Amino acid sequence: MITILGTIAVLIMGYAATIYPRIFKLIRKSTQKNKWYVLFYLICYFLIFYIVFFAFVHFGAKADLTLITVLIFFFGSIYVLETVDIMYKTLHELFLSNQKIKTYANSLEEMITKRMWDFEHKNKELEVAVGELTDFKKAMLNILEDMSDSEYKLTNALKESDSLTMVSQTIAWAADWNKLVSYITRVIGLNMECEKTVLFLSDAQSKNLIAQYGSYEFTKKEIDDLKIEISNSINGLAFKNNETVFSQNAAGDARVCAKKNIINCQNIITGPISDGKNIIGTICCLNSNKNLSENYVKDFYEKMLKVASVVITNSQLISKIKIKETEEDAILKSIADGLLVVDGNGCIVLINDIAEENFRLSREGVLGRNVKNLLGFDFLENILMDIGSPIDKSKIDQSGKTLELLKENELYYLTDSSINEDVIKIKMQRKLNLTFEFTTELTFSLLISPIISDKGTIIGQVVTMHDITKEILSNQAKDEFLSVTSHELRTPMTAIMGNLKMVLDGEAGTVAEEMKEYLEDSYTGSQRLLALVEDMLDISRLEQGRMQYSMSDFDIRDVAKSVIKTLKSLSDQKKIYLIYKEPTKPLMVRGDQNKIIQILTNLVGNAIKFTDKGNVTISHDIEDDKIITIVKDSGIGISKEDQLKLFKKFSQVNINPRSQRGGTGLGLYICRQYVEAMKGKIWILYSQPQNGTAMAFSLPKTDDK
Amino acid sequence: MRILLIDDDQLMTRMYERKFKFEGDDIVTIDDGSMALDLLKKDGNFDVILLDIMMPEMNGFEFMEELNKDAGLKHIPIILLTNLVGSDEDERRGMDLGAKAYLVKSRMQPNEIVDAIRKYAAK
Repeated sequence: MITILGTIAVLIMGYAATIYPRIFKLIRKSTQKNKWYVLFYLICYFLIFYIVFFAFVHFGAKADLTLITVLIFFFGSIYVLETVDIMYKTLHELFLSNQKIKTYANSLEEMITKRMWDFEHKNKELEVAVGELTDFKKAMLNILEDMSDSEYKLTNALKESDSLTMVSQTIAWAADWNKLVSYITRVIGLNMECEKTVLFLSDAQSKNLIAQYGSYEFTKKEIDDLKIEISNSINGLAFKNNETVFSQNAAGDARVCAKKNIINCQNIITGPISDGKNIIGTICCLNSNKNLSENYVKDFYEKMLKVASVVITNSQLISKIKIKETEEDAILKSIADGLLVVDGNGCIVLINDIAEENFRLSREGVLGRNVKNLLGFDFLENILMDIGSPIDKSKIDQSGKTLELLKENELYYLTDSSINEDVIKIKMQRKLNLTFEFTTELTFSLLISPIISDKGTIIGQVVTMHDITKEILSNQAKDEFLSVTSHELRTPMTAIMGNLKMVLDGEAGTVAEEMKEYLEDSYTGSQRLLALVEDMLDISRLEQGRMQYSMSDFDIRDVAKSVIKTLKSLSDQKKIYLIYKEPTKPLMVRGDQNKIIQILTNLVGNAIKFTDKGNVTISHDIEDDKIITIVKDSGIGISKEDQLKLFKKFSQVNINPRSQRGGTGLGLYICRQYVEAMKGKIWILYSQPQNGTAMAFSLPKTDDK
Repeated sequence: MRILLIDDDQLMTRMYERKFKFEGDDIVTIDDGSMALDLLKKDGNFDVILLDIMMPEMNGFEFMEELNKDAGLKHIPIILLTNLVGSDEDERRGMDLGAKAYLVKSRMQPNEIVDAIRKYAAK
């Protein structure tokens, strides 16, 4: 019995255990409001439980009844509780729903109110918009009114743009004037919607306006008939007054003086054509449109003519340029020398056919290119470097006639007067050898002239190249001829002189006094002739570069003494004192002893020759690493201008007094070549007419041994 | 002095012949190197040989080369007497071949030639 009761109790507890979580769940879920209700429910529940429990204990005897009661009570209470719980929940939800509906209703009301306001507002806006629309419509109407005007303007603008294309056509038509005339007059004619357009150009000689062939819708014959004197015609007025002239009624206008069959139209408009400075002609449109008003066309016509003026002027300029180009081309082509022009940067801007051929270049390949980049022509680069660089004054050529002596790659500055500037702005001359495959060597003389701007800066160079190959060859032939002939001349001269000398010396028997004079003159003549031959031979060797120098160190006093010994008889003959201021110590120099003897003999010989009384003095000076030998005389002296040419080939100064004295004029030239080859210099130390001359030459000094 | 003059130019040979004869010398002239060699082989009794360089058949240098091969004639002093003044090379070549001197005809009077020859032949 007790076991059954225990089991039931456990069951009850188990159920209770299952019910607790539900209760707590309820508590958790419950709002603050119904917490008290739940608490009450719980207390009730436990109270009932304990009552049942105590009843059970108390009525243990009647346990079965009690148990059933308890169970009924228990389950009943649970059911009640559950029902209450559900009812509460339902009621609560209902309450909440009610609350929500109320809120929604409120918000709905609010919304409707707002919308209503909005509608009202929008309505007002719409009213404003409608008002504006009315205004816009008015404006639109205005614009539409303007449209016709705009359309007219647009058409004009289009016409203007059309006329502007004329400019771009100018160059294309420039070559053919009649085509250009036809083009311009047609464009103007079409734009002006007229029947005929004619272009007049003024003729400076006849002072007439000449209609140009090709004018729009004009036949050749009509053009021939259209000669208008500038004076009174409407074109004349347009031309003279530089203004657009409009004739509303051409047939009745006195100013329209052309033949009526040509001018078969209602109105005429004409305006001037200008080349920017002067009025050069007019363009005239003939129109049959009766409604054409002056104001309507004038403005536009003037614009058209401005464009036409530009087109005509441009085309005339282009033709002029073309003519000039052709002329320049022809000039460049007809120059026999090569011509090359480079700009300040060394880029070739011009080259003629000859230069192209000389350099084996093609114009297309070199124009605009820097000479530095041209195959194998470093020399041009050198020229560029030379221009604008300091002048090497030792290379100044006063006469500019030393073409055959131009050394390769050496520059000579050509000038008429002495150079004061320190920078090269003067012409230069240089020899250039060019050799190409399968060709013989060509030699050119280059003349390089700087192009100097107004500001005095060098902005380019002109190089003219003259082919001197033939001259060089003929010079060589000349040298060879000279060398052969002079050699062949020597033997007979030797025979003449030798035999004469022997006769004069009495070796062929006694010479009669009267005969002696003749023989002596013959001897002197042949002596002079032989000296000339010797000189010629020396020069030909010098110029062929075949002169040899056997250099050695020697005492120049020995040279001076030997020269004095040779010339003693000559000075004695003229009763001139030959003085040698001999230094006590040896003066060692380096050079070709024989050549120095020749030089000093020449100088002393000349001094004696040109001195009639007084003395000739030889002296020496030491200066740094040079020994200077001075030959001073009290002779006739040399004038300033003669001094300049003294060392030149064949220079024979002061012809008259000299004619009695003889000489080939080669001596000093040879001396100079010799001295310079031996690293010395020769110069006029001092000279004044009638006051004597002092000549000097220097030689490198060597250490005393 | 017995002199052999080898020169192809008659003007020269005749002039020097006259001069040396006037000076009292015995002079034999011949106008070609090879003929001179033949002569010398027969008669080598000369005190000095005056030799021109430019000659048609055998020139002066060739003559000297041939003469130098002959031990019996080598001792005869040779003086080059020429008008060849082209270059120092000729002079050097002549001296190298054993010439005593190199004299330029046109630059010396006959007197000077005689003096020079006496001087060089004696050396």
